[in-house]
Amino acid sequence: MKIDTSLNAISAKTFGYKQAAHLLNRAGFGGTPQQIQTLVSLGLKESVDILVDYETNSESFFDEDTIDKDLIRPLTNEEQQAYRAAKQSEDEAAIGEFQRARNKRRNQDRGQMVQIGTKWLERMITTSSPLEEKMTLLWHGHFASNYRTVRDSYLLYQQHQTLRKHAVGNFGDMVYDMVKDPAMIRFLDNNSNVKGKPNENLARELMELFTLGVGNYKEKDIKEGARALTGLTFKDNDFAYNKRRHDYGKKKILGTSGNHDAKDFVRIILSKRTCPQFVAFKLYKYFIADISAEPNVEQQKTIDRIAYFIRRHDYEIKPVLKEIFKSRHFYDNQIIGRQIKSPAQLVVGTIRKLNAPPRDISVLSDAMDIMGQRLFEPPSVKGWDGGRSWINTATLFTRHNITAYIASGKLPNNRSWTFDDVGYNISELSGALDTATVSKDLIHRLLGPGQSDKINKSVEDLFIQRQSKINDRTILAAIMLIMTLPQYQLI
Amino acid sequence: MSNDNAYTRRHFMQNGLAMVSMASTVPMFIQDSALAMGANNTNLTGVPGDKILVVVQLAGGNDGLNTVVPYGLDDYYSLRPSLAISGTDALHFNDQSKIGLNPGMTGIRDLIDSGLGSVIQGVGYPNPNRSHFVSMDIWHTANPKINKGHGWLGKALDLSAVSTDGSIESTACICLGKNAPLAAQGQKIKPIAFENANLFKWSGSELGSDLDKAYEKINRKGSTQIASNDPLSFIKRTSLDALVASDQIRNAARKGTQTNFPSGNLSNQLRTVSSMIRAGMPTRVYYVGLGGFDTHANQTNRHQNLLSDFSRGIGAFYKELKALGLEKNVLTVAFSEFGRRVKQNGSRGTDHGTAGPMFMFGDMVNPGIHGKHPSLTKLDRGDLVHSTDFRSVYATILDQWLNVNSKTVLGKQYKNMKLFKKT
Repeated sequence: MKIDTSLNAISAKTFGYKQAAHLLNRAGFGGTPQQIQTLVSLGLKESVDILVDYETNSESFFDEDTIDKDLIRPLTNEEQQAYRAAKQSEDEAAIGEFQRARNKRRNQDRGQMVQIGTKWLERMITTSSPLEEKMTLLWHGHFASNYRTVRDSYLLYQQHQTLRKHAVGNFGDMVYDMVKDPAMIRFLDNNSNVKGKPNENLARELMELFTLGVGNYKEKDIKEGARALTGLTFKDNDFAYNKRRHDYGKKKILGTSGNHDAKDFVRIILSKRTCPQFVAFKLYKYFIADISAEPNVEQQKTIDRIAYFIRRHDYEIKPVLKEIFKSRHFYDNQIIGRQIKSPAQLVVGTIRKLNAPPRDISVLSDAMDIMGQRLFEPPSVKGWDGGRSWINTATLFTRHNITAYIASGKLPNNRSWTFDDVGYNISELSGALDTATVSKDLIHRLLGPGQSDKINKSVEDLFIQRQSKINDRTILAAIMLIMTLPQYQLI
Repeated sequence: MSNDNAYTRRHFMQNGLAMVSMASTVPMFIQDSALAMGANNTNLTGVPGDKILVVVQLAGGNDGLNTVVPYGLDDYYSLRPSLAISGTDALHFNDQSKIGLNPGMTGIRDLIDSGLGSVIQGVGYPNPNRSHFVSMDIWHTANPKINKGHGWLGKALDLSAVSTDGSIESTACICLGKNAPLAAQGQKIKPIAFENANLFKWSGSELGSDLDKAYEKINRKGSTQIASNDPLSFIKRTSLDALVASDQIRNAARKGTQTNFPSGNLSNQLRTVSSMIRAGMPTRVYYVGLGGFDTHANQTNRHQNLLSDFSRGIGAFYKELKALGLEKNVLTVAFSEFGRRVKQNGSRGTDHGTAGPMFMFGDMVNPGIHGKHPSLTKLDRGDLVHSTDFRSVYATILDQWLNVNSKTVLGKQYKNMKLFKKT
């Protein structure tokens, strides 16, 4: 069957359980059958509206009062003097003391970053606006900065809040803000990009990875663009514009000449057709299908169409998402259940589908690290590769074992675990009295509707082996088994 | 892909392994290797060129001056009045150098004296960073600008353990520890990491042995072909590979060693590595680690105990390798993220410093002492100035042992050193 490439909306009556489940998987982290039923009864338009026009969680996921903004900070004048004096007099004890104190602050900051990441994961698990988290995660991997390099948890927290603010807002505004973002400036060295001694890092990645994609600019544009970004720096936690270090001369960027500054540079980029094209590609990969290298002809058609919407809506993200989430392409059978789950999707989705307790969140985020996705630690400025790169011999057992932990509350090799530690009502997951229906109910919940008889049978066999007794133990075993099915790695 | 040299396809699996279930569906990484079963099991390594690298990470910042002791230098004693190791206590080498080893390191001294080990002195890099994490990342990525997420070993394996058809040697790199280090992360190659080989498997079966059977039935169904547009066949294939790797690793770890290993953290890890090598695992790089070197206070005993664990482990490891006839095939390299301040601090310890020694072991090593001992008088803000860039050591290992172009991995040509015997 040929895939439907149309971005026209499916008809209202086509929107059934399967479609609602797919929508909640992709625009969120999936949910329980009850939640999916609710979307079905709301209908397509309203379901999409509810997900996309989410109410921003006004409360920060992290209690700002508990954040220490200055664990990493420049030295005060007194400290500088004291340090200089110690060095001059070669007072090793004082120098050592000073360095120990600095190391201590760095360790505390590292701890704070872990805490912020943990809180974010907790928000993903509990939020009633899942798309907000999913979009923030998308942009975190798009405008990727990592703690490994930035080494200032508060700067990354600020960046996170900026991405969250723009998550479904205007892409152009987000680019402007990212160029001025202290974590980004530090990550890509723009604090050393000054008149006469340009540093091209930010200018290059801005075009290559954030907006245009490789091949859509020339090396010359990077050189000239870097000049436009001179003087953009930060002071302590805030953006700062060092006018004396800015190059006010004439530049020609992407064919446009003028005394460009950062704003002009971004404006010129946004005016290029390749920019919406690039953003459309990112949205397609994130919400519709894994693309390992180049999109194929059908995919390209849809991407072009999404790019057109982005242009027409002046980079407003919300209306574009709504078009995608209602489209015939999005609900095509060759799209549903064929995207590889990211570690975040796997972990958060499993908890939400089972309605299981969130367990020990630090265990979950450590497992995500092993599976290749630690929050605030994308591996490079390119973000996470996604798709098949998530799955390899090294990550697969972790993927299986973390879901077993979520379902049971039992860590590998934990001998003191008892059934009481499960912590949620397993028998509620299926009210049926025969093994075939129980198996089907569990599969339906975890994999979605329309699974093959073979899959049903592989689970029912387990009950049969156990003399067809339906009890919590066997239901739990079946859940854990279903989550190791290859199909469970997909949404 | 530089392994045009003979791929030594000897069998790498012991008898009695769960081969029955694999016979019909041979996983990707052994598809084209001989599955000769039942042959005897001596002198086999199972890796291309029969060359294995073991990396030992001494984490926390090992105090280089009390590891490789410059007992001929007066400044050493004046800067470390209560920490310096006397010339009588330090272990001497056969040669006449005024360099000795920490008294805890007899095993390593003996190895070096018998021509199976070397010390590289004063290893570091320009503009040293004194943060554990940053400096460790710099060593792992071989790049002082650390926002690139791949490690030097990972990149090397991306070039050597991925074949032209894209299939990946899934057990090319094994790390003992909860998390795989950044050094071993490649773009394609992802290291396998475990603290205990027995836990490298599905944990769900702990809730019922019948679950294991059901699990195997589901996940041992990999197909031989992966359709590019079918994620399911890709996952099935990876599941099969993972299960086979798990069998291999757990069986290999169970195989045990021919000789006895002393107790100790590093010894235990090296025993597991020995066992895997003995079983003929096709693993090219093993990564092990010993932590606790951050000796800010009362360091003498603690430091000596750590070095003794290190030394006894290495000693036992090479005794075992000699028994297996593999001391020519296994190169071991030890490093730490930095050395420590030359002058001792106020609490009979030392603070974070810069350059430090590296160690290499194996019969291929050009034995003895390499590099210059850093000056104790020409210091940079109280710290040693490195005399050897660690990337020169890496380059030598990449070019001459792993047979991977070091320039491709390190981004720049670093000078090769004379760390290996002439062949």
